[in-house]
Amino acid sequence: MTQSNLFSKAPEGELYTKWEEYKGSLNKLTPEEANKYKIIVIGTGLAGASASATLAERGFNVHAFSFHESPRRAHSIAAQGGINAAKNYKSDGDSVMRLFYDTIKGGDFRSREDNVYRLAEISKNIIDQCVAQGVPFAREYGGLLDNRSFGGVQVSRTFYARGQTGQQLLLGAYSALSRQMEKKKVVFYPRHDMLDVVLVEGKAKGIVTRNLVDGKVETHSADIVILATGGYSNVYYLSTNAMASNVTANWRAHRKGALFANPSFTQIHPTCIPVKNDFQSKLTLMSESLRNDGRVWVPKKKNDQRKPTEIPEEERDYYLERIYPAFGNLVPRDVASRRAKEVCDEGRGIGPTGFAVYLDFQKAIEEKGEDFIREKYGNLFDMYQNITDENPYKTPMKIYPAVHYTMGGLWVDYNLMTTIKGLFSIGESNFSDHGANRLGASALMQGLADGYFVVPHTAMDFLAKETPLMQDITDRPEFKEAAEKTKNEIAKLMSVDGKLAVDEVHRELGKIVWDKIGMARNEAGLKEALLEIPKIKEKFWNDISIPGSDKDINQELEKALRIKDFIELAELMAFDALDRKESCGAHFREEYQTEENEAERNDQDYKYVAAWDYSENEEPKLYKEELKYNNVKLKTRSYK
Amino acid sequence: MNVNLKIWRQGSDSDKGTLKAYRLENIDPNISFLEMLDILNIKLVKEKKDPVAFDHDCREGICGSCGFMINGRPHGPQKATTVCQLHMRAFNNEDDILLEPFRAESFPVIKDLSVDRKSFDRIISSGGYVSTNTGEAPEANSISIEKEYADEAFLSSACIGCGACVAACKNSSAMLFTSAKVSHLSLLPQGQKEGKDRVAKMVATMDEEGFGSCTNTGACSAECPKEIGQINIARLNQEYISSSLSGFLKKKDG
Amino acid sequence: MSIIKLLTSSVGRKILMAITGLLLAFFMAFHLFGNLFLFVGEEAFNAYVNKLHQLGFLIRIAEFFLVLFVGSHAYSGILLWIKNRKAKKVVSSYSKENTPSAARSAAFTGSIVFVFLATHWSTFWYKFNFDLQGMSYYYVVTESSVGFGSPAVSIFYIIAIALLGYHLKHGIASAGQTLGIVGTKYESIYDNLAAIFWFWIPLGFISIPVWFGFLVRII
Repeated sequence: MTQSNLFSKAPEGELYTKWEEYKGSLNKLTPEEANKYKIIVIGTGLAGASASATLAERGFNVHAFSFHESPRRAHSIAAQGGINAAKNYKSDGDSVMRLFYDTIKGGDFRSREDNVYRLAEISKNIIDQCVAQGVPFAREYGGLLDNRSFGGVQVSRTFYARGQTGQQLLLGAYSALSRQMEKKKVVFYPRHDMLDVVLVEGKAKGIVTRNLVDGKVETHSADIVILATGGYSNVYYLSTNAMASNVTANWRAHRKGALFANPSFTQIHPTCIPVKNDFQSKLTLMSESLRNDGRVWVPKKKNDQRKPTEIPEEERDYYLERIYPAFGNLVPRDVASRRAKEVCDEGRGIGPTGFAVYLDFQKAIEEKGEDFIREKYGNLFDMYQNITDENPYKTPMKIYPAVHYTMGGLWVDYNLMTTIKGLFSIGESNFSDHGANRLGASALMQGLADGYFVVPHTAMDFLAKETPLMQDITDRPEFKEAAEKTKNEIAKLMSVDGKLAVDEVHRELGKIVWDKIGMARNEAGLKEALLEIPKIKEKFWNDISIPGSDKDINQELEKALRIKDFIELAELMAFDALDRKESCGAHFREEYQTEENEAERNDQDYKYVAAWDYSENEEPKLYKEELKYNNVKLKTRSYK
Repeated sequence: MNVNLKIWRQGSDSDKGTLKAYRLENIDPNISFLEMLDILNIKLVKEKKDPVAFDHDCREGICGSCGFMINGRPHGPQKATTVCQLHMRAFNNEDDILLEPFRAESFPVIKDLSVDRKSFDRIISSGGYVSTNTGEAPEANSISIEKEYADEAFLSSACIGCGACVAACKNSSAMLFTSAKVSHLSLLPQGQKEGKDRVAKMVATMDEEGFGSCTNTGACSAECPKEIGQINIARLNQEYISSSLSGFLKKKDG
Repeated sequence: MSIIKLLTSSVGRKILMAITGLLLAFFMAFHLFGNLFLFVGEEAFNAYVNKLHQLGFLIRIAEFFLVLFVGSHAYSGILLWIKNRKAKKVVSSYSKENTPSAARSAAFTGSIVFVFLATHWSTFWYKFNFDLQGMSYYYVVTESSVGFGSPAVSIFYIIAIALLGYHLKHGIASAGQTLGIVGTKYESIYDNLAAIFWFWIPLGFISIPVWFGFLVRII
């Protein structure tokens, strides 16, 4: 049995009523009282924008920061597929309990029951909220909301707006935020990178930022700080994340004492457009919804060079349908990804690199008609054709897994507060709800649940017990010291006068992380990674070159500040993956697999959240939060 | 393939700015336009020269960050495509390619190809929302919306706020951008209640921000990477007229 | 929204231009109706003009509004043009590919039309009202030196009205957009009517200098 020394602080009581009761018991502030407090929110994606808007509506003064020029540019905007909610509009037997169970099971029993149930419960309110804001979800001819089914589940509970659900939801949250900006309850700081969190008497009371336009290092104080800074997939260099998505805010908080949980739980999405060459800067996801009508296959023969249309039916291996007759092409992401890697490793991969599989719509087009497919996926097909120069109506798509989402993140308790008092973390930036693998259409759900419906209550409760600062305290020594440290770090980076562009170092780092801490891991590889990453770090600090000035827009400096943190994070990921001697969800340790090559979980020893404490010169220290399952039975995940 | 680039280099809005020539050789035609700029920037960094600043983020054509003029056209020659989705195969070997920022009085240059589009945010802030607080929403399916209207609203709401419409317009008008939001909300029952007030406020802000006026040339829609249609401008005008008329009526009543 | 705010906002000014523009186009139709009496014959045309003159006071009111419409149409147009010049910072490579030339040149064609109107009034209108010198209306139009007796005047009229038609090609379509007719069920009716106004009516006007200025002399 594991020794746990970290607790979620979830209230006691019945799972089904826990959140409602707890919410009622939390301390409240009137808008007049709330007006005395100032809240800093970092990041204005789905989680950050929704939290900022809601807190401002409750009367708090919110200062929202983003490295983007506008909240509408946040990467939430790129989410394609949809958002889950247990509305049971299709009467297919869906319920809060079922969404809860699917999410827990999908996460391979490595997420916290209480959080996941709350998420499932809140999912319904999210849809109501978004519709009221004017989010144009897809509708049926009768005028009611339409749903579709999405990877890994057997009910239709996914609400969508063509292939642009994230965009529409973000624009909804952005509009709510804009409304509060107009009312002067939210002050927005565009093009500001957060570079440190400032602690006063052990509590988060402010931040250090760099203005990306004029390079000024500034300090800001507030009563609490909320991080809504997204995930860290870009540690792999190539991922489906936006170019500037980074771990810096979270990592700086981690360095100040916030524990980082399950860093090695990173999701590899099965349906991305394969890498084409060395200049590739990022990967493009094709929505998982495509797997509803697309069939995944590779040739039965190795190194089959024929065109896909020339390969007869009997020489194709629809391997997902073969291995998983019940779920077929709709198995969860981690399973679909790993199986794709497996067939490619066998030499049956297709395309010029051999690292791709087919996603074929021929059957769906024959059965349902091209118009039906066009109506449902038109924009995705166009996007595919534009990028690859191939027409997916005529020839199957080529896809391959790519890093897409990170389940790991800052450890938070039931209130979404990190181990630093007054520092909250919401959305993808925390670790809380998806365990070892996230199901499709639940990232948008979690971001909005945290931002609209959870953190406004728990942050208010925290603040109600705090005396408001009522003034700017950035003249305190803690702020001056933090700003000084940041300035020194920037000066040090600017003075490295090497010959490599930071992107080149990043690409090298990404290759190590992808090869050794990617879709499949093993002890030897992880140990190698731990030897190689420090070399990358050395290279970074000696060989990079940042031309220009730090008093100006300097995109190379911005990247360098981020990559510096990615390198440190990569090390922690290796430690985490090494510690977890089991396979679960997206974390596949090759040593721990069944005879059928399925993940072999070890609930006896590893039913815990691994939360790591930073230490400058020693190995990170592991804290464990024991996971308790009182309402579901631990089962081996099976999608057969 | 080889390309001859001419790129607008400018330190800030107050600088004069100038075009500088760069040549890139042996470029794979299958890389994206921005990857081509990445290659140029890495080359510049290695030569200890200041790399070209340009905005970009998602590289999937949805965040609206990227955008500049390529040979005088916003987002370049390919229809319905953002710069990040443009590939080098859209050009020929030895082509001259001229890159300049989106220019408008309301889009000051920050550096090189990067411009400040905060004026767009201020237009949205002045009314581009439904005034509803979190938690007050009724059951989602209590509002029924004809599919046709929901689909139309979606098409308007698909605007990515990149600013190509302003750059394409000979008047630097933000009418397409503003009307897309007005249209999206006025097509839905949730947005109709505040419709009259919204259109008046958003048009007023658009004017204050210094954008030019629309002379219905249609260049904006033709260049829009998301193909936001002229119909949105007609809808804004309808809303504006009905907003003005209801204003007169109210005055008489009072 | 107050009327001041309506008339001074960019959209309001466009609405004003659209309405005055369309009213002027209607006036043109009426004007052409009268002009066609020229083809009926000298007596018919003179009788028609005399009829109009008998309306006296009413015709002055109509003329007042006409001038008001032209004035406010031009005034709004100039203000918008100035605003638009200020808003634009042209890039050296700016491509006009997607801006139709009728739309691009609307301010220019409008200015030419304005010059034409000024000439038209100071010649025909002035002569008809104050300076007939015993000539018949028909003669002034078809034979006098301010009329189509002069080939230069005829050519000027043909070019100016052609430009007016070109101005209307953009103007009427634009008015449909500004008044929100585009996208409604009236759009196709409007488009058909628009063609009458920008193509057939100007063609009717042009037929007069073409016939009386040239053809009638050759035949």
